[in-house]
Amino acid sequence: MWRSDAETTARHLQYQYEVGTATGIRCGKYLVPRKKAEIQRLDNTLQHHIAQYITLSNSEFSRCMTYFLPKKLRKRSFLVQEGDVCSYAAFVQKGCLRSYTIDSKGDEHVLQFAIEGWWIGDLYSFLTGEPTSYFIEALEDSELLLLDRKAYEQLTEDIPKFERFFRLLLQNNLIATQRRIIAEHSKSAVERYLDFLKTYPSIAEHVPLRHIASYLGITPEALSRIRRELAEKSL
Amino acid sequence: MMKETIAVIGAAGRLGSTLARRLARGGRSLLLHDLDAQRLEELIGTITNETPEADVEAVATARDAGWEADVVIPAVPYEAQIAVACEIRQVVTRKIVVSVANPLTERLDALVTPTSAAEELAHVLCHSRVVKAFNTVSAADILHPAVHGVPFDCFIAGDDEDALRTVSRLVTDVGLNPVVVGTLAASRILEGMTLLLMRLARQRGWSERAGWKILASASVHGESNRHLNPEPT
Repeated sequence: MWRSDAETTARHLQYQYEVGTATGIRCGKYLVPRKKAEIQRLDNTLQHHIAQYITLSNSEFSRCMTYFLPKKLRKRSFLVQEGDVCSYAAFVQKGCLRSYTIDSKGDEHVLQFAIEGWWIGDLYSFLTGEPTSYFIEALEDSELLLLDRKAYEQLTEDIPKFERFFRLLLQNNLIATQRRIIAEHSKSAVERYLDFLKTYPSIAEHVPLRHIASYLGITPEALSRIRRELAEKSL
Repeated sequence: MMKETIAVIGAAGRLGSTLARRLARGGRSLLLHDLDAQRLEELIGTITNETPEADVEAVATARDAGWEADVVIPAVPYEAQIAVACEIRQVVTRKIVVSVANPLTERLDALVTPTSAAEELAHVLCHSRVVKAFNTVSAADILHPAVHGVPFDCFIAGDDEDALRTVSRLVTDVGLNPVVVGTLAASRILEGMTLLLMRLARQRGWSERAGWKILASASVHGESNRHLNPEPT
């Protein structure tokens, strides 16, 4: 019983050999290696993103990274589905996600896309713990940094500069939401499509047209017509 | 909800392979890594034969398996756990990492650390939620988790309530009876219990299918041993 599995041990000692040859940082009594993979940092996108709003010292940034859960999400997987509590605010390091609702007729309505450097989640569900009415789905294989409610509270307490960071983030989000509502009432579908191309320049190439049409609140056929007309004009 | 994803590192080993076979039945996604690609492939074949609906996949590196997973089980011997921890540490921040190792001498007659394998793992994975579990049961116990219909107890120790609940659920899914014993420091006791069981097994010639079972009657306050087992989520 529980006899030492010599073969398994031998296989895993290969790891130790790698560790022994790497230079590293000391973590208590252990030497934790800095291998190439480690230097290839997970957090560059987040660092650039945060630097747009607040200035952090290196040690503050390292500390802030301990509050984020790194998660790979495969294409067509869900971060949340309707009826779940949206426990995370997700920062997209790589990939593309969309949030959408499904109405009583079964039609999807896209609320938001999120590409590299954007956040996605359901703020209402995240803050209240109430179930969400959103679906959030990866449109490509994606790499996320997830922040749960507890970590969010701890982060803002630990590094108070993040109060300002999240305030600015929410402020921008509010402005974008208001602009979108105004656009829905006052702009034509063509203008809304052109706005979309400006806001999400790289998405148009990656995302099926039906999702873009859903985001714009028009049918896929209407979007095809608009695109055809714009192409003819540009010729 | 995100489909729960579990990474088993060292999946082709004795404990890793039996855990993977049992966990594959729970409708979750399993990512398996092992340095022995051929044995891993054989294991995946066994799992898909036993559980055709299993969502199981081989992953080339421990780091990639850990990155995608919600719960990581380094099913490797004590001697290798720190090396594996170093490989995955950057991608398991705030995730649950299950310590299954027993820090035994080569002769299996003493413990080699004054603390515990779990605490040493948590020292390196200081931003993860390390939980001790599955160290008091053998691979054979996991494959056949009950004797005469009574499941073995599987003791669990950890510092995070949510993580304890999640691991308790995994233990239940495997067919064992979860018993939460306290904080991660209690791992010292749990690792010592394995040593005791091994000594007894050796002295008395027990088979591999021997394990722990706590018997307790209701307390004077009318409370059962409910506190040993967290409420199911």
